[in-house]
Amino acid sequence: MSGNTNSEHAGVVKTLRPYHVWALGVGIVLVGEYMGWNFTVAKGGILGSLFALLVAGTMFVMVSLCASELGSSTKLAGGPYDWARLFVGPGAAALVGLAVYMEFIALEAADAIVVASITNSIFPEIQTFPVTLLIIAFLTFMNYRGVVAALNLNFALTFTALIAIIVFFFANITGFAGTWHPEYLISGAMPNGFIGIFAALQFGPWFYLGIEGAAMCAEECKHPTRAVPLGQQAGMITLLLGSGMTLYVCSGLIPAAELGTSVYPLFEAATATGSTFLIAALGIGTLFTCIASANGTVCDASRSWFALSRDKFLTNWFADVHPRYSTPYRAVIFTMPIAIAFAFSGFLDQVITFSIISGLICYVMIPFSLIRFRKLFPEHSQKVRPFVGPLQPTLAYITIFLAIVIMSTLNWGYGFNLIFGLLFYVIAYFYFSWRYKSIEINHDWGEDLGWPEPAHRR
Amino acid sequence: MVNETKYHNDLKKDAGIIVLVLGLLYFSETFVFYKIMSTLWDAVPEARTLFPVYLLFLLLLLGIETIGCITVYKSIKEHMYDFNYYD
Repeated sequence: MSGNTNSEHAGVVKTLRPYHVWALGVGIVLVGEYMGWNFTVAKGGILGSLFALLVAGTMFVMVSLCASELGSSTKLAGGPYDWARLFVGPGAAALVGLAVYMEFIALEAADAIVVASITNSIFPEIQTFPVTLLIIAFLTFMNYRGVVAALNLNFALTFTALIAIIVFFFANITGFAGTWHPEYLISGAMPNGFIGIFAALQFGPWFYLGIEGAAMCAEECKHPTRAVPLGQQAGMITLLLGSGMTLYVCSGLIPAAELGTSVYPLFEAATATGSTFLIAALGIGTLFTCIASANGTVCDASRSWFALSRDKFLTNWFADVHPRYSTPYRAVIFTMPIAIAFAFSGFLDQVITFSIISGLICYVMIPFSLIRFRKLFPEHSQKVRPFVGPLQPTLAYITIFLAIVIMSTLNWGYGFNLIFGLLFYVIAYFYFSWRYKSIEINHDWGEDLGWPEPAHRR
Repeated sequence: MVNETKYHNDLKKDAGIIVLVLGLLYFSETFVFYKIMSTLWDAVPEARTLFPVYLLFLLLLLGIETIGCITVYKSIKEHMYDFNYYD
Protein backbone atom coordinates (compact mmCIF):
# COMPACT_ATOMS: atom_id res chain seq x y z
CA MET A 1 0.00 0.00 0.00
CA SER A 2 2.93 2.31 0.09
CA GLY A 3 1.57 3.98 -2.90
CA ASN A 4 3.54 7.16 -2.75
CA THR A 5 2.32 8.14 -6.15
CA ASN A 6 0.64 11.25 -7.30
CA SER A 7 -0.76 9.64 -10.37
CA GLU A 8 -1.96 6.48 -8.73
CA HIS A 9 -3.52 8.21 -5.75
CA ALA A 10 -4.96 11.17 -7.58
CA GLY A 11 -8.56 11.54 -6.46
CA VAL A 12 -8.20 8.60 -4.12
CA VAL A 13 -11.16 8.06 -1.81
CA LYS A 14 -10.10 8.43 1.80
CA THR A 15 -12.08 5.64 3.40
CA LEU A 16 -9.64 3.58 5.45
CA ARG A 17 -10.31 3.26 9.17
CA PRO A 18 -8.19 2.13 12.14
CA TYR A 19 -9.00 -1.55 11.59
CA HIS A 20 -7.71 -1.28 8.00
CA VAL A 21 -4.44 0.12 9.34
CA TRP A 22 -4.34 -2.74 11.84
CA ALA A 23 -5.04 -5.32 9.15
CA LEU A 24 -2.44 -3.97 6.76
CA GLY A 25 0.34 -4.02 9.37
CA VAL A 26 -0.57 -7.34 10.96
CA GLY A 27 -1.28 -8.91 7.55
CA ILE A 28 2.29 -8.51 6.43
CA VAL A 29 3.92 -9.34 9.75
CA LEU A 30 1.89 -12.16 11.30
CA VAL A 31 3.74 -14.66 9.13
CA GLY A 32 6.69 -14.00 11.46
CA GLU A 33 4.87 -15.92 14.21
CA TYR A 34 4.32 -18.86 11.86
CA MET A 35 7.92 -19.23 10.68
CA GLY A 36 11.36 -17.71 10.97
CA TRP A 37 11.27 -16.56 14.62
CA ASN A 38 12.32 -20.05 15.74
CA PHE A 39 15.87 -19.49 14.48
CA THR A 40 16.28 -17.54 17.75
CA VAL A 41 15.95 -20.93 19.48
CA ALA A 42 18.72 -22.41 17.32
CA LYS A 43 21.03 -19.59 18.42
CA GLY A 44 20.18 -19.08 22.06
CA GLY A 45 17.70 -21.73 23.12
CA ILE A 46 14.43 -20.87 24.86
CA LEU A 47 16.05 -18.21 27.05
CA GLY A 48 17.61 -16.65 23.95
CA SER A 49 14.27 -16.63 22.19
CA LEU A 50 12.54 -14.98 25.17
CA PHE A 51 15.32 -12.39 25.34
CA ALA A 52 15.00 -11.67 21.60
CA LEU A 53 11.21 -11.41 21.91
CA LEU A 54 11.47 -8.84 24.73
CA VAL A 55 14.32 -6.73 23.34
CA ALA A 56 13.05 -6.69 19.75
CA GLY A 57 9.52 -6.12 21.08
CA THR A 58 10.69 -3.06 23.02
CA MET A 59 12.44 -1.72 19.92
CA PHE A 60 9.37 -2.24 17.73
CA VAL A 61 7.03 -0.58 20.24
CA MET A 62 9.24 2.49 19.94
CA VAL A 63 9.47 2.20 16.13
CA SER A 64 5.65 2.07 16.05
CA LEU A 65 5.39 5.24 18.09
CA CYS A 66 7.86 7.00 15.78
CA ALA A 67 5.94 5.77 12.71
CA SER A 68 2.63 6.87 14.26
CA GLU A 69 3.88 10.41 14.78
CA LEU A 70 5.51 10.68 11.36
CA GLY A 71 2.64 8.99 9.52
CA SER A 72 -0.13 11.05 11.11
CA SER A 73 1.84 14.26 10.54
CA THR A 74 2.86 13.81 6.90
CA LYS A 75 -0.18 11.74 5.83
CA LEU A 76 1.84 10.43 2.87
CA ALA A 77 1.70 6.90 1.51
CA GLY A 78 5.45 6.48 1.02
CA GLY A 79 6.08 5.81 4.69
CA PRO A 80 9.75 5.62 5.68
CA TYR A 81 10.83 6.68 2.18
CA ASP A 82 8.83 9.90 2.33
CA TRP A 83 9.89 10.65 5.91
CA ALA A 84 13.56 10.33 4.97
CA ARG A 85 12.99 12.37 1.78
CA LEU A 86 11.34 15.21 3.67
CA PHE A 87 13.41 15.36 6.84
CA VAL A 88 16.83 13.84 6.11
CA GLY A 89 17.86 14.09 2.45
CA PRO A 90 17.82 12.48 -0.97
CA GLY A 91 20.61 9.96 -0.37
CA ALA A 92 18.91 8.72 2.81
CA ALA A 93 15.54 8.64 1.06
CA ALA A 94 16.86 6.45 -1.74
CA LEU A 95 18.63 4.26 0.80
CA VAL A 96 15.42 3.75 2.79
CA GLY A 97 13.36 3.20 -0.38
CA LEU A 98 15.78 0.50 -1.48
CA ALA A 99 15.92 -1.05 2.01
CA VAL A 100 12.10 -1.23 2.18
CA TYR A 101 12.12 -2.83 -1.28
CA MET A 102 14.70 -5.46 -0.32
CA GLU A 103 13.11 -6.12 3.09
CA PHE A 104 9.78 -6.96 1.50
CA ILE A 105 11.14 -8.81 -1.55
CA ALA A 106 13.22 -11.09 0.66
CA LEU A 107 10.15 -11.62 2.85
CA GLU A 108 8.12 -12.56 -0.23
CA ALA A 109 10.76 -15.10 -1.23
CA ALA A 110 10.79 -16.54 2.32
CA ASP A 111 6.98 -16.85 2.29
CA ALA A 112 7.04 -18.60 -1.08
CA ILE A 113 9.72 -21.04 0.12
CA VAL A 114 7.60 -21.96 3.16
CA VAL A 115 4.43 -22.49 1.11
CA ALA A 116 6.43 -24.67 -1.31
CA SER A 117 7.90 -26.64 1.62
CA ILE A 118 4.43 -27.31 3.01
CA THR A 119 3.27 -28.44 -0.42
CA ASN A 120 6.29 -30.70 -0.65
CA SER A 121 5.57 -32.21 2.77
CA ILE A 122 2.00 -33.01 1.71
CA PHE A 123 2.93 -34.15 -1.82
CA PRO A 124 6.55 -35.42 -1.66
CA GLU A 125 6.66 -36.03 -5.41
CA ILE A 126 6.37 -32.29 -6.10
CA GLN A 127 9.69 -30.42 -6.00
CA THR A 128 10.04 -27.26 -3.93
CA PHE A 129 11.64 -24.81 -6.38
CA PRO A 130 9.06 -25.03 -9.21
CA VAL A 131 6.27 -24.48 -6.68
CA THR A 132 8.15 -21.46 -5.29
CA LEU A 133 8.37 -20.03 -8.83
CA LEU A 134 4.70 -20.68 -9.43
CA ILE A 135 3.67 -18.89 -6.23
CA ILE A 136 5.83 -15.86 -6.99
CA ALA A 137 4.43 -15.69 -10.53
CA PHE A 138 0.84 -16.02 -9.29
CA LEU A 139 1.19 -13.25 -6.70
CA THR A 140 2.90 -10.99 -9.23
CA PHE A 141 0.00 -11.52 -11.60
CA MET A 142 -2.56 -10.74 -8.88
CA ASN A 143 -0.79 -7.49 -8.06
CA TYR A 144 -0.45 -6.66 -11.75
CA ARG A 145 -4.24 -6.84 -12.07
CA GLY A 146 -4.92 -4.70 -8.98
CA VAL A 147 -4.68 -4.91 -5.24
CA VAL A 148 -7.99 -3.86 -3.72
CA ALA A 149 -9.61 -7.28 -3.86
CA ALA A 150 -6.32 -8.93 -2.94
CA LEU A 151 -5.97 -6.78 0.19
CA ASN A 152 -9.55 -7.43 1.25
CA LEU A 153 -8.78 -11.13 0.95
CA ASN A 154 -5.62 -10.51 2.98
CA PHE A 155 -7.68 -9.19 5.88
CA ALA A 156 -9.76 -12.37 6.04
CA LEU A 157 -6.66 -14.60 5.74
CA THR A 158 -4.82 -12.70 8.46
CA PHE A 159 -7.73 -12.72 10.87
CA THR A 160 -8.16 -16.48 10.44
CA ALA A 161 -4.45 -17.05 11.08
CA LEU A 162 -4.53 -14.85 14.21
CA ILE A 163 -7.57 -16.61 15.65
CA ALA A 164 -5.81 -19.96 15.06
CA ILE A 165 -2.88 -18.85 17.27
CA ILE A 166 -5.14 -17.55 20.05
CA VAL A 167 -7.30 -20.69 20.05
CA PHE A 168 -4.17 -22.87 20.09
CA PHE A 169 -2.73 -20.95 23.06
CA PHE A 170 -5.86 -21.06 25.20
CA ALA A 171 -6.55 -24.70 24.26
CA ASN A 172 -3.05 -25.57 25.43
CA ILE A 173 -3.01 -23.67 28.74
CA THR A 174 -6.42 -25.05 29.65
CA GLY A 175 -5.23 -28.60 28.97
CA PHE A 176 -7.43 -29.29 25.96
CA ALA A 177 -4.63 -29.55 23.42
CA GLY A 178 -1.48 -31.53 24.06
CA THR A 179 0.82 -31.78 27.05
CA TRP A 180 3.18 -28.89 27.67
CA HIS A 181 6.62 -30.37 28.43
CA PRO A 182 8.77 -28.37 30.90
CA GLU A 183 11.66 -30.75 30.18
CA TYR A 184 11.86 -29.46 26.60
CA LEU A 185 12.53 -25.98 27.97
CA ILE A 186 15.12 -27.20 30.47
CA SER A 187 17.05 -29.31 27.94
CA GLY A 188 17.06 -26.50 25.39
CA ALA A 189 17.31 -23.50 27.70
CA MET A 190 20.61 -22.07 26.50
CA PRO A 191 22.61 -24.47 24.29
CA ASN A 192 25.26 -21.89 23.34
CA GLY A 193 25.67 -20.11 26.68
CA PHE A 194 25.44 -16.36 27.20
CA ILE A 195 26.86 -15.61 23.74
CA GLY A 196 24.02 -17.65 22.22
CA ILE A 197 21.42 -15.62 24.11
CA PHE A 198 22.91 -12.40 22.78
CA ALA A 199 23.26 -13.88 19.27
CA ALA A 200 19.55 -14.84 19.31
CA LEU A 201 18.76 -11.14 19.01
CA GLN A 202 19.57 -11.32 15.28
CA PHE A 203 16.34 -13.20 14.53
CA GLY A 204 14.25 -11.35 17.13
CA PRO A 205 13.00 -8.75 14.63
CA TRP A 206 11.29 -11.54 12.68
CA PHE A 207 8.49 -11.55 15.29
CA TYR A 208 7.52 -8.00 14.24
CA LEU A 209 9.36 -7.19 10.99
CA GLY A 210 7.39 -4.80 8.77
CA ILE A 211 4.88 -3.40 11.30
CA GLU A 212 5.95 0.11 10.27
CA GLY A 213 4.18 -0.65 6.98
CA ALA A 214 0.85 -0.02 8.72
CA ALA A 215 1.48 3.73 8.63
CA MET A 216 1.92 3.58 4.86
CA CYS A 217 -1.83 3.79 4.23
CA ALA A 218 -2.07 7.20 5.95
CA GLU A 219 -2.85 8.91 2.64
CA GLU A 220 -5.94 6.78 2.14
CA CYS A 221 -7.28 7.10 5.71
CA LYS A 222 -10.44 9.06 6.43
CA HIS A 223 -8.93 10.44 9.65
CA PRO A 224 -5.21 9.63 9.55
CA THR A 225 -4.53 11.46 12.82
CA ARG A 226 -6.80 8.95 14.58
CA ALA A 227 -6.52 5.88 12.34
CA VAL A 228 -2.72 5.70 12.09
CA PRO A 229 -1.78 5.90 15.81
CA LEU A 230 -4.73 3.75 16.92
CA GLY A 231 -4.34 1.12 14.18
CA GLN A 232 -0.55 1.06 14.53
CA GLN A 233 -0.61 0.55 18.31
CA ALA A 234 -3.39 -2.05 18.09
CA GLY A 235 -1.33 -3.87 15.45
CA MET A 236 1.78 -3.76 17.61
CA ILE A 237 -0.10 -5.14 20.62
CA THR A 238 -1.55 -7.92 18.43
CA LEU A 239 1.94 -8.95 17.35
CA LEU A 240 3.22 -8.87 20.93
CA LEU A 241 0.31 -11.11 21.92
CA GLY A 242 0.94 -13.46 19.00
CA SER A 243 4.68 -13.70 19.62
CA GLY A 244 4.35 -14.51 23.32
CA MET A 245 1.67 -17.13 22.71
CA THR A 246 3.66 -18.68 19.85
CA LEU A 247 6.85 -18.95 21.89
CA TYR A 248 4.96 -20.51 24.79
CA VAL A 249 3.15 -23.26 22.87
CA CYS A 250 6.05 -24.13 20.58
CA SER A 251 8.68 -24.27 23.34
CA GLY A 252 6.60 -26.71 25.37
CA LEU A 253 5.45 -28.92 22.51
CA ILE A 254 8.56 -29.31 20.33
CA PRO A 255 12.06 -30.22 21.61
CA ALA A 256 14.33 -27.17 21.24
CA ALA A 257 16.73 -28.91 18.84
CA GLU A 258 13.87 -29.58 16.40
CA LEU A 259 12.20 -26.24 17.01
CA GLY A 260 15.38 -24.36 16.04
CA THR A 261 15.44 -25.85 12.54
CA SER A 262 11.72 -26.11 11.80
CA VAL A 263 10.35 -24.47 8.65
CA TYR A 264 6.81 -24.17 10.08
CA PRO A 265 7.04 -24.44 13.89
CA LEU A 266 3.41 -23.62 14.79
CA PHE A 267 2.13 -26.30 12.43
CA GLU A 268 4.58 -28.81 13.91
CA ALA A 269 3.52 -27.83 17.44
CA ALA A 270 -0.11 -28.41 16.47
CA THR A 271 0.87 -31.78 15.00
CA ALA A 272 2.48 -32.68 18.35
CA THR A 273 -0.87 -32.19 20.12
CA GLY A 274 -2.54 -34.84 17.93
CA SER A 275 -5.67 -32.70 17.67
CA THR A 276 -7.06 -32.91 14.14
CA PHE A 277 -8.83 -29.58 14.53
CA LEU A 278 -5.67 -27.76 15.62
CA ILE A 279 -3.52 -29.44 12.96
CA ALA A 280 -5.99 -28.29 10.29
CA ALA A 281 -6.33 -24.80 11.82
CA LEU A 282 -2.59 -24.17 12.12
CA GLY A 283 -1.87 -25.74 8.72
CA ILE A 284 -4.42 -23.45 7.12
CA GLY A 285 -3.13 -20.56 9.24
CA THR A 286 0.42 -21.14 8.00
CA LEU A 287 -0.67 -21.24 4.37
CA PHE A 288 -3.00 -18.25 4.72
CA THR A 289 -0.53 -16.05 6.52
CA CYS A 290 2.27 -16.85 4.05
CA ILE A 291 0.06 -16.01 1.09
CA ALA A 292 -1.31 -12.88 2.76
CA SER A 293 2.16 -11.72 3.69
CA ALA A 294 3.68 -12.45 0.28
CA ASN A 295 0.80 -10.67 -1.42
CA GLY A 296 1.21 -7.60 0.80
CA THR A 297 4.95 -7.53 0.29
CA VAL A 298 4.66 -7.59 -3.52
CA CYS A 299 2.33 -4.63 -3.18
CA ASP A 300 4.61 -2.67 -0.82
CA ALA A 301 7.88 -3.51 -2.58
CA SER A 302 6.57 -2.53 -6.00
CA ARG A 303 5.29 0.81 -4.66
CA SER A 304 8.66 1.53 -3.11
CA TRP A 305 10.43 0.77 -6.43
CA PHE A 306 7.82 2.85 -8.24
CA ALA A 307 8.40 5.79 -5.88
CA LEU A 308 12.16 5.61 -6.44
CA SER A 309 11.57 5.59 -10.18
CA ARG A 310 9.03 8.44 -10.13
CA ASP A 311 11.44 10.60 -8.13
CA LYS A 312 14.14 9.82 -10.74
CA PHE A 313 16.38 7.79 -8.44
CA LEU A 314 15.96 5.01 -11.00
CA THR A 315 15.08 5.03 -14.66
CA ASN A 316 11.66 6.59 -15.18
CA TRP A 317 10.63 3.51 -17.16
CA PHE A 318 9.40 1.82 -13.95
CA ALA A 319 7.09 4.73 -13.12
CA ASP A 320 4.52 3.79 -15.73
CA VAL A 321 0.97 3.13 -14.50
CA HIS A 322 -1.20 0.55 -16.23
CA PRO A 323 -3.94 2.34 -18.21
CA ARG A 324 -6.60 -0.19 -17.32
CA TYR A 325 -5.69 -1.59 -13.88
CA SER A 326 -4.09 1.60 -12.50
CA THR A 327 -1.20 -0.36 -11.04
CA PRO A 328 2.53 0.38 -11.39
CA TYR A 329 2.74 -2.75 -13.50
CA ARG A 330 6.39 -2.51 -14.59
CA ALA A 331 7.52 -2.13 -10.98
CA VAL A 332 5.23 -5.02 -10.02
CA ILE A 333 6.64 -7.31 -12.72
CA PHE A 334 10.18 -6.36 -11.74
CA THR A 335 9.62 -7.80 -8.25
CA MET A 336 9.49 -11.25 -9.81
CA PRO A 337 13.12 -11.75 -10.97
CA ILE A 338 14.47 -10.31 -7.71
CA ALA A 339 12.24 -12.55 -5.57
CA ILE A 340 13.24 -15.55 -7.68
CA ALA A 341 16.90 -14.69 -7.22
CA PHE A 342 16.39 -14.72 -3.43
CA ALA A 343 14.34 -17.92 -3.56
CA PHE A 344 16.93 -19.62 -5.80
CA SER A 345 19.28 -19.94 -2.82
CA GLY A 346 16.63 -22.08 -1.13
CA PHE A 347 18.10 -21.28 2.31
CA LEU A 348 15.35 -19.75 4.41
CA ASP A 349 17.69 -18.37 7.08
CA GLN A 350 19.87 -16.60 4.47
CA VAL A 351 16.86 -14.96 2.86
CA ILE A 352 15.45 -13.96 6.25
CA THR A 353 18.82 -12.52 7.30
CA PHE A 354 18.95 -10.16 4.31
CA SER A 355 15.38 -9.07 5.01
CA ILE A 356 16.30 -8.37 8.64
CA ILE A 357 19.41 -6.36 7.66
CA SER A 358 17.27 -4.27 5.29
CA GLY A 359 14.63 -3.83 7.98
CA LEU A 360 17.19 -2.75 10.56
CA ILE A 361 18.49 -0.07 8.16
CA CYS A 362 14.91 1.26 8.17
CA TYR A 363 14.73 1.06 11.97
CA VAL A 364 17.78 3.29 12.20
CA MET A 365 16.41 5.73 9.64
CA ILE A 366 12.80 6.01 10.91
CA PRO A 367 13.72 7.34 14.39
CA PHE A 368 16.45 9.46 12.81
CA SER A 369 13.79 10.99 10.53
CA LEU A 370 11.70 11.73 13.63
CA ILE A 371 14.63 13.43 15.37
CA ARG A 372 15.20 15.59 12.29
CA PHE A 373 11.45 16.26 11.99
CA ARG A 374 11.29 17.56 15.55
CA LYS A 375 14.34 19.77 14.96
CA LEU A 376 12.95 21.19 11.73
CA PHE A 377 9.45 21.71 13.14
CA PRO A 378 9.69 22.10 16.91
CA GLU A 379 6.12 23.34 17.37
CA HIS A 380 3.39 20.88 18.39
CA SER A 381 0.69 22.56 16.33
CA GLN A 382 -2.47 20.83 15.14
CA LYS A 383 -1.40 21.30 11.52
CA VAL A 384 2.19 20.04 11.76
CA ARG A 385 2.02 17.46 14.56
CA PRO A 386 -1.53 16.36 15.44
CA PHE A 387 -0.25 13.27 17.26
CA VAL A 388 2.63 13.96 19.64
CA GLY A 389 4.41 10.73 20.54
CA PRO A 390 5.49 10.27 24.16
CA LEU A 391 9.04 10.59 25.54
CA GLN A 392 10.49 11.77 22.23
CA PRO A 393 13.20 12.16 21.04
CA THR A 394 14.60 9.98 23.86
CA LEU A 395 12.78 6.89 22.54
CA ALA A 396 14.08 7.61 19.04
CA TYR A 397 17.69 7.58 20.28
CA ILE A 398 17.11 4.32 22.21
CA THR A 399 15.54 2.76 19.08
CA ILE A 400 18.59 3.62 16.99
CA PHE A 401 20.85 2.15 19.68
CA LEU A 402 18.87 -1.10 19.90
CA ALA A 403 18.70 -1.45 16.09
CA ILE A 404 22.48 -1.12 15.83
CA VAL A 405 23.01 -3.59 18.70
CA ILE A 406 20.69 -6.14 17.05
CA MET A 407 22.43 -5.61 13.70
CA SER A 408 25.82 -6.21 15.33
CA THR A 409 24.67 -9.62 16.61
CA LEU A 410 24.47 -10.85 13.01
CA ASN A 411 28.24 -11.11 13.36
CA TRP A 412 27.62 -14.51 15.00
CA GLY A 413 26.91 -16.84 12.10
CA TYR A 414 26.06 -14.28 9.45
CA GLY A 415 29.08 -11.96 9.51
CA PHE A 416 29.61 -12.27 5.77
CA ASN A 417 25.93 -11.51 5.08
CA LEU A 418 26.14 -8.46 7.37
CA ILE A 419 29.24 -7.10 5.62
CA PHE A 420 27.73 -7.74 2.18
CA GLY A 421 24.43 -6.15 3.20
CA LEU A 422 26.03 -3.04 4.67
CA LEU A 423 28.40 -2.72 1.69
CA PHE A 424 25.43 -2.96 -0.64
CA TYR A 425 23.62 -0.13 1.16
CA VAL A 426 26.74 2.06 1.48
CA ILE A 427 27.35 1.77 -2.28
CA ALA A 428 23.66 2.45 -2.91
CA TYR A 429 23.78 5.55 -0.68
CA PHE A 430 26.75 7.06 -2.52
CA TYR A 431 25.39 6.08 -5.92
CA PHE A 432 22.03 7.71 -5.27
CA SER A 433 23.60 10.77 -3.66
CA TRP A 434 25.77 11.19 -6.76
CA ARG A 435 22.90 10.61 -9.14
CA TYR A 436 20.59 12.95 -7.30
CA LYS A 437 23.05 15.86 -7.63
CA SER A 438 21.85 16.41 -11.17
CA ILE A 439 18.20 16.57 -10.18
CA GLU A 440 16.92 19.79 -8.74
CA ILE A 441 14.05 19.41 -6.34
CA ASN A 442 12.93 22.11 -3.97
CA HIS A 443 10.55 21.34 -1.18
CA ASP A 444 7.73 23.80 -0.90
CA TRP A 445 6.47 22.94 2.59
CA GLY A 446 3.45 25.20 2.29
CA GLU A 447 2.34 23.80 -1.07
CA ASP A 448 3.26 20.16 -0.42
CA LEU A 449 2.03 19.77 3.15
CA GLY A 450 0.39 23.03 4.15
CA TRP A 451 3.13 23.60 6.72
CA PRO A 452 5.14 26.72 7.62
CA GLU A 453 8.81 26.92 6.65
CA PRO A 454 11.18 24.82 8.80
CA ALA A 455 12.70 26.49 11.87
CA HIS A 456 16.14 27.09 10.30
CA ARG A 457 14.63 28.98 7.32
CA ARG A 458 12.49 31.38 9.34
CA MET B 1 -23.61 20.70 14.92
CA VAL B 2 -21.58 17.98 16.63
CA ASN B 3 -23.48 15.25 18.44
CA GLU B 4 -21.55 15.27 21.73
CA THR B 5 -23.24 12.15 23.14
CA LYS B 6 -22.23 10.14 20.05
CA TYR B 7 -18.70 11.48 20.25
CA HIS B 8 -18.33 10.53 23.90
CA ASN B 9 -19.78 7.07 23.29
CA ASP B 10 -17.46 6.45 20.35
CA LEU B 11 -14.50 7.74 22.33
CA LYS B 12 -15.43 5.28 25.08
CA LYS B 13 -15.46 2.50 22.47
CA ASP B 14 -11.95 3.46 21.33
CA ALA B 15 -10.81 3.53 24.96
CA GLY B 16 -12.50 0.17 25.57
CA ILE B 17 -10.63 -1.44 22.68
CA ILE B 18 -7.33 -0.04 23.95
CA VAL B 19 -7.99 -1.26 27.52
CA LEU B 20 -9.11 -4.70 26.27
CA VAL B 21 -6.05 -5.36 24.11
CA LEU B 22 -3.72 -3.93 26.77
CA GLY B 23 -5.31 -6.23 29.34
CA LEU B 24 -4.78 -9.22 27.04
CA LEU B 25 -1.19 -8.12 26.48
CA TYR B 26 -0.46 -7.86 30.22
CA PHE B 27 -1.96 -11.28 30.79
CA SER B 28 -0.20 -13.11 27.96
CA GLU B 29 3.24 -11.52 28.36
CA THR B 30 3.39 -11.92 32.14
CA PHE B 31 1.98 -15.46 31.89
CA VAL B 32 4.56 -16.52 29.29
CA PHE B 33 7.36 -14.76 31.17
CA TYR B 34 6.35 -16.34 34.49
CA LYS B 35 5.92 -19.85 33.06
CA ILE B 36 9.27 -19.90 31.26
CA MET B 37 11.20 -18.32 34.13
CA SER B 38 9.59 -20.46 36.82
CA THR B 39 10.25 -23.62 34.78
CA LEU B 40 13.93 -22.77 34.38
CA TRP B 41 14.49 -21.12 37.79
CA ASP B 42 15.84 -24.18 39.64
CA ALA B 43 17.08 -26.26 36.70
CA VAL B 44 19.10 -23.55 34.92
CA PRO B 45 21.05 -21.35 37.36
CA GLU B 46 21.86 -18.80 34.63
CA ALA B 47 18.16 -17.93 34.48
CA ARG B 48 18.47 -16.29 37.91
CA THR B 49 21.50 -14.30 36.78
CA LEU B 50 19.68 -13.06 33.70
CA PHE B 51 16.36 -12.44 35.44
CA PRO B 52 16.89 -8.69 36.16
CA VAL B 53 17.71 -8.00 32.49
CA TYR B 54 14.63 -9.89 31.31
CA LEU B 55 12.44 -8.12 33.87
CA LEU B 56 13.83 -4.74 32.81
CA PHE B 57 12.89 -5.33 29.16
CA LEU B 58 9.48 -6.75 30.09
CA LEU B 59 8.73 -3.62 32.12
CA LEU B 60 10.10 -1.37 29.37
CA LEU B 61 7.97 -3.13 26.76
CA LEU B 62 4.75 -2.98 28.77
CA GLY B 63 5.47 0.48 30.17
CA ILE B 64 6.25 2.16 26.85
CA GLU B 65 3.30 0.47 25.15
CA THR B 66 0.98 1.63 27.94
CA ILE B 67 2.27 5.21 27.78
CA GLY B 68 1.90 5.05 23.99
CA CYS B 69 -1.73 3.92 24.26
CA ILE B 70 -2.56 6.61 26.83
CA THR B 71 -1.01 9.20 24.51
CA VAL B 72 -3.09 7.91 21.58
CA TYR B 73 -6.25 8.17 23.71
CA LYS B 74 -5.41 11.72 24.82
CA SER B 75 -4.65 12.72 21.23
CA ILE B 76 -7.99 11.38 19.98
CA LYS B 77 -9.85 13.11 22.81
CA GLU B 78 -8.06 16.40 22.13
CA HIS B 79 -8.68 16.45 18.38
CA MET B 80 -11.98 14.59 17.97
CA TYR B 81 -14.05 17.75 17.47
CA ASP B 82 -11.44 19.53 15.33
CA PHE B 83 -11.17 16.68 12.82
CA ASN B 84 -14.75 15.33 13.17
CA TYR B 85 -13.47 11.83 13.98
CA TYR B 86 -16.83 10.23 14.61
CA ASP B 87 -19.04 11.76 11.89
